[in-house]
Amino acid sequence: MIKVCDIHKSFGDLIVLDGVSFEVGDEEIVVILGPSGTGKTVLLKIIAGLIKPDAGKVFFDGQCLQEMRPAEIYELRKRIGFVFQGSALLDSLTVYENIKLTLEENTNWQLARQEERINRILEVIGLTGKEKLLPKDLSGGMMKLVAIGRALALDPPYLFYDEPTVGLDPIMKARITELIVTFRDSYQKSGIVVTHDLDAARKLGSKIYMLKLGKIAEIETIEKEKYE
Amino acid sequence: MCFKHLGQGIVQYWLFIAHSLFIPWQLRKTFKRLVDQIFEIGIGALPMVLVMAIFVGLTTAIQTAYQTLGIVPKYFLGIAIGRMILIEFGPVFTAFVVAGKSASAMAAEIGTMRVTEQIDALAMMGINPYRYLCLPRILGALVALPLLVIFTEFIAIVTAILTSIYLLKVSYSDLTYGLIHHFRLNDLVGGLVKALFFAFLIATTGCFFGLQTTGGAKGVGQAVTRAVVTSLILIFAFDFINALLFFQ
Repeated sequence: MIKVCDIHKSFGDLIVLDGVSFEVGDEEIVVILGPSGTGKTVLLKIIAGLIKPDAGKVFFDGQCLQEMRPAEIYELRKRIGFVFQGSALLDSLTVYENIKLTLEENTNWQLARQEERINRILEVIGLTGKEKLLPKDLSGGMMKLVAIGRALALDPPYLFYDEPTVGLDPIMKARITELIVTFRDSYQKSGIVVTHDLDAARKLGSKIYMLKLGKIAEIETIEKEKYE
Repeated sequence: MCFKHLGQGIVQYWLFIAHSLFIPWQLRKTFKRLVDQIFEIGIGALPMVLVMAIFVGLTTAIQTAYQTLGIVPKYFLGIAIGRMILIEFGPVFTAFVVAGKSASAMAAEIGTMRVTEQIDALAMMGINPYRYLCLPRILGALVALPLLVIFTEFIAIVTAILTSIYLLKVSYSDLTYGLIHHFRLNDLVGGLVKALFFAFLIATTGCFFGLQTTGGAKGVGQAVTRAVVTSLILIFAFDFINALLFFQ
């Protein structure tokens, strides 16, 4: 369970987040909607520990992120898969190596076990056969799929998506939305999706919040039957 | 205001060094990246260093001959060439080439990774960017630069000998008498120790300014400029302190 309590963040005189609080339950996906430039990505990065808030706290299963030592934060991050808006693939590594890096650095798995895991992920994201390509050879949608694959490598319980469907064609958008729904329903992943795409928000989230002028408000709770 | 920024920068630089060096790491996981960096910094700079070393040898021989021949015995030319190249020109000029090539490359590569969120991505993968990106570069430079300095010194001295004999008409025996009989191991070791410090300064400034990058392409350009200029100034400053402490 993730609990976000009274987060404040300003950049100079610009107040970006002004007392944001919400919770993400187990096996639940929360969607944060809002126009561009309202601080959705900043909020997501604060929850992931990439940006320090001016005030407020984030709790993961009761553990306060702001009270953790750096080593503990790195350990926590192994339980979070983060899909960046621009995919943020390491451009000197192939698709295969991008996914493998997480396993290489964080596990002592034998090569065969790593390969098995990577092949399974490539199958799930539908990129089998593309493992030797570099990020520069991929389309925007494929890069997004690799970023999702990389986020899944350690099988984390939490997945954070920053604008997962932005800038994609309708087919790729539907494919990625379907994948996120699959992870939620079949793999019991909790998560936060930040988007300005209302259609995707309704398909993905059990709760939808609107972030505007630094404040957050719940605008919709999808009924459990419909959600499932 | 300027001093405040400078002070903050120095504090951040020391924190960066602490983050990069005093973290647990495993040779098994770092080895491949370390070898890559040794090749990148060492082999990558070899053609430029070769050209630079030839010109250093040529110029050193001609300038030294101009200033000494006819005033002091001819074997003095050998002493001066040997000492200047081993103590000063070899380490300093090689460091200049590596600073121009590698500090800029490190700042550009890490800076681009910073502005495209690749460093945030590493952090989110549970990978410490200091350990993954900076440590192999710092260790790689510490190995590669002294080797490059030895190569520079060899090429420069051979070129200076050939120039002295064939262009300046100094006899081989006069020249080698000065070079060999007045050779001091301390000069060679002192130059190599200097190279180690230069390597550390070059790699740490390159990585530091890369990690400090903000904005887009312009920010990367600024980081590269700062990395090269700062590493050159630090090389000059360290060279002066070294001369003051050990060569008076």
